[in-house]
Amino acid sequence: MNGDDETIPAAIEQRLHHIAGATGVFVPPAVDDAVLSRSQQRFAEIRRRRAKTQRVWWISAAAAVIVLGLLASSLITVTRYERADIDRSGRVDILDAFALARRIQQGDTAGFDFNNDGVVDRADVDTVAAQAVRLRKGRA
Amino acid sequence: MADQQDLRSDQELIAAANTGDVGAFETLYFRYREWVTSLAYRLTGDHALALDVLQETFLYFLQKFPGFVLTCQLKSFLYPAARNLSIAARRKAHRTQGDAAVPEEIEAPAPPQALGNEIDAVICQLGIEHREVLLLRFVDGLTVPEIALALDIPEGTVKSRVHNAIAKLRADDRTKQFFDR
Amino acid sequence: MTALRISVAIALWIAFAAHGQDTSFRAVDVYVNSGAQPLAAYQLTFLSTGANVKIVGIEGGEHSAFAEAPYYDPKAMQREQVTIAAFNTAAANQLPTGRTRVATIHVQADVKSQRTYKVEVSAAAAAGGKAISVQANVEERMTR
Repeated sequence: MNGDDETIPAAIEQRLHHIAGATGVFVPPAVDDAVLSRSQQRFAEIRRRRAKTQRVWWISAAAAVIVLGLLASSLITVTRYERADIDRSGRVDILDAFALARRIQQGDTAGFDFNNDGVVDRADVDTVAAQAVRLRKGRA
Repeated sequence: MADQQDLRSDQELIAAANTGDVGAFETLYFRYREWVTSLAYRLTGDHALALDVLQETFLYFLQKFPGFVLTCQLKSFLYPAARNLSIAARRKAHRTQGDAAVPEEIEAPAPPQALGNEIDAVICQLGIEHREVLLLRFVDGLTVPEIALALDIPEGTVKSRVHNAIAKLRADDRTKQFFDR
Repeated sequence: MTALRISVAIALWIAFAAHGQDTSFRAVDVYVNSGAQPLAAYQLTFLSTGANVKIVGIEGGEHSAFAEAPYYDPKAMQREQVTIAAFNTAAANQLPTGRTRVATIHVQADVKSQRTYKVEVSAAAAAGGKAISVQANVEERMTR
């Protein structure tokens, strides 16, 4: 037995429709106004709350953008290459000292005074190499 | 203001109403006003009570916004609200009238004599429970699960009532002829 | 160069005198194989394990390009690990190819201790600074 499959004759269905609609109840405009005026008040409040929520959301989003921007700029600062990382490999090793030695041979010495003695020479190469082989903290 | 030509589905209208669109709610009101009124009159038997139930049903519906989620046909949602408000209205009316006993069941109004239709007479004699499931099934187009949800009864009970109502119509001398055609 | 070798020998003698006959010294040769590429620079980490194994000296290699002692952190002396590195800006035809002893690391260890050595290359380059891939290994010699 499946209630969805059961059918009734068209004549009976027609009478059912008639009974359902034959209430003779007239809905006066006052009843409509009573419902609709309350709905207008309610939805006006809904719109006010949504506008407030959206303002809060935009302010929060703007604040988040500012915070992320500050964070990103601080991260950029942290990941700045070390001065002695001449080949920008991300670390200071013997290849940086090797690169500096070649630059000195070629006369390209600007900005490479690593020992702050006023000149760029083999001593600066030794300074970079010493940093490359320095024992790391935590190792035996 | 509600546009009588608004062709949006109930789901679309509810979604719009959730965002504060008062016109969407007005469309829903006018779309289901007659149905709720007819239902309320069937259940209360009184025009004035039916209008009260109409108003209370939609004010009840209004309080569901924002955030209303329609998970069934809107009639399945409105029916129990209108039914319960009708029962409450009938009880209040009986108490107001000083009736000693408030009837447990809501008696449907007797069909107008002017109709004089034998089919109507048989239908009205079915009893409120069988008549309501027939109306919900064959007039409102609700499925068995939707009727069960609206009436808050098991689906098996819905099937049983539909079957028994049709059986009574088939057995009655005044209506069995329509089943033989 | 002679002065360097003399200073290493003196350091070893001092260490031997301080610790007596229960310890021994080992020379560990460090080899780098650059294949056909002329080796212009290298950096590697040497690690030794075993009871009381300590690094006590570091020498240069066999090829003239790496005859001088490599760069290393003096604080690595008396420890088990050291990073060494060296480079030479000479032309490619003056640089070693194939397998080359680039350095010798001297360790002091207990006579009966089991010793193992490990070497890890962290950088290598050919003439002109081009990074290359090399193989490295170590071999222990016996010294007294």
